[in-house]
Amino acid sequence: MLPADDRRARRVLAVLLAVSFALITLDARNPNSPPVAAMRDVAATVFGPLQEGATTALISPVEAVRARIGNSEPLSAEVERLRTENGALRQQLSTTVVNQAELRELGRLLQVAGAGEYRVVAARVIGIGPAQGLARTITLDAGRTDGLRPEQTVINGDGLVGRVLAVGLQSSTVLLTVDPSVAVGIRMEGSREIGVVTGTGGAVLTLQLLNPQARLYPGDRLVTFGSTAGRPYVPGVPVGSVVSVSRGADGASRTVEVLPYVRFSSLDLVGIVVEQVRRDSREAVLPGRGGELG
Amino acid sequence: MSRNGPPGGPGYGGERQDRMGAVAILAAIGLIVGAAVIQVSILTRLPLPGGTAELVLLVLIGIALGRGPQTGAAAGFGAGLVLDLMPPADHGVGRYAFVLCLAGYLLGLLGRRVDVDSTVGIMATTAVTATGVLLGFAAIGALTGDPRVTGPVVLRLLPSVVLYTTALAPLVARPLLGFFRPESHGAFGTVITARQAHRLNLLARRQEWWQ
Repeated sequence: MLPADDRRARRVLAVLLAVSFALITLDARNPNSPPVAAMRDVAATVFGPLQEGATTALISPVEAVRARIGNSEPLSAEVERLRTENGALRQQLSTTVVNQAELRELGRLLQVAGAGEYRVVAARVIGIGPAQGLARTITLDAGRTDGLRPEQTVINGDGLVGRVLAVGLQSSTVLLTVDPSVAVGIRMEGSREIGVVTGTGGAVLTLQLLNPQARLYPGDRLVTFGSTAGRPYVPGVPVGSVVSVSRGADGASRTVEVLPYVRFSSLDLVGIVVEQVRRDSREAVLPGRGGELG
Repeated sequence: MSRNGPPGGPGYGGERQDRMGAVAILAAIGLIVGAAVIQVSILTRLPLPGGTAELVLLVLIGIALGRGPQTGAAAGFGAGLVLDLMPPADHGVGRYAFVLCLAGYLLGLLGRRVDVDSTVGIMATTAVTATGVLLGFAAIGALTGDPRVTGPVVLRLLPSVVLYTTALAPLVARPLLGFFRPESHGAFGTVITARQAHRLNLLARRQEWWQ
């Protein structure tokens, strides 16, 4: 090798490594710093349609084969199917998820006003983060133009999927509930005890109740507690059920594993709650509007 | 194995490896972007246990081995940036860029010194590179305080990722190595590949020895 070539290659390497290092430092200090956010936004806008195209290219032959063997609807029925699934998602939110009487009670308890009408946008999964990226994230084919914003709740027919992390023009990134960095406030269905489920990166979540003495049995069900103004999590969405309760060696601490209702390995259609309870969540406990208070 | 000079040597085609034509650059960009999209939209959907094949890394291996350290470092940086920024990535920007830039440079050096253009050679190179890239990526995450990086998780993913990536190496990295290896000019102005030139050189040296 020519020494001049060798030197130049080393110089290129040094410059590029320095740039990478600068980016890493910049991102580590503030993940939402403007240059990085702008770069991510551009990438989402460019790669969203490509991922959508690749997904369609993959799904179409699969659907065609399934249609031919009579197992599934033909391709032309996909629009109809999406529409039905969208309707089912809305219905799921208003009926099975939130039993109206229960919601009123929950609403009072949570200081969330009324049984708000949620508007849900349906979207398809067009990308799944590789496991070696260590983050459990997916790309959806809906974005800013569809009304999506960061910190919105993502659900499907089974329950809580996650929350919107970043939004591009026509695609968005969703952080799944099973990601190790995620913690979701929950309420036990029967006992109304509140707690937090944390992702493990694996198939299960771990549960910690605020009251360590509260009784827990396998099969107990969990719903979301709800965040302020429904962001990032609207209340009352099913999360999962307790599968195992094991006591630590000291007898005081216990490890509770929760199996999510959503099968994260086979996600396809999801719904994003783009509109939630309109009123200020704190008004529910006030005597009324218009200065009647005090 | 040619220790002094690029494959091809001074006898048949001493063309510099690192200079890429516009076609090769566009092909490299297209392949990297395409591989990244296929990786997250198709490969991750396959119901295989553990991680996913690093398709982008396989493209980088082809480019870097064929073109040398300077192009390897540049292509690695670009490929890494794509992996860092393309949704649904949620790790710090620059992590893959740093690791793949270094990997591309080292692969480029390797390609100059050793002839790895065989099924076994390319698979061994891929296995080592995939291991290094995954560990490097995790190490930077650990250093920047990423709560997702834990020893057990990384070690659990490592075998599957290396296995899938290595299995695809003869199908992806090797043809690309052939594609990106610059053409050299043989006797009487005929265009031959660097690999052919390399073989001719060895042959010529052997003949000299016999005489």
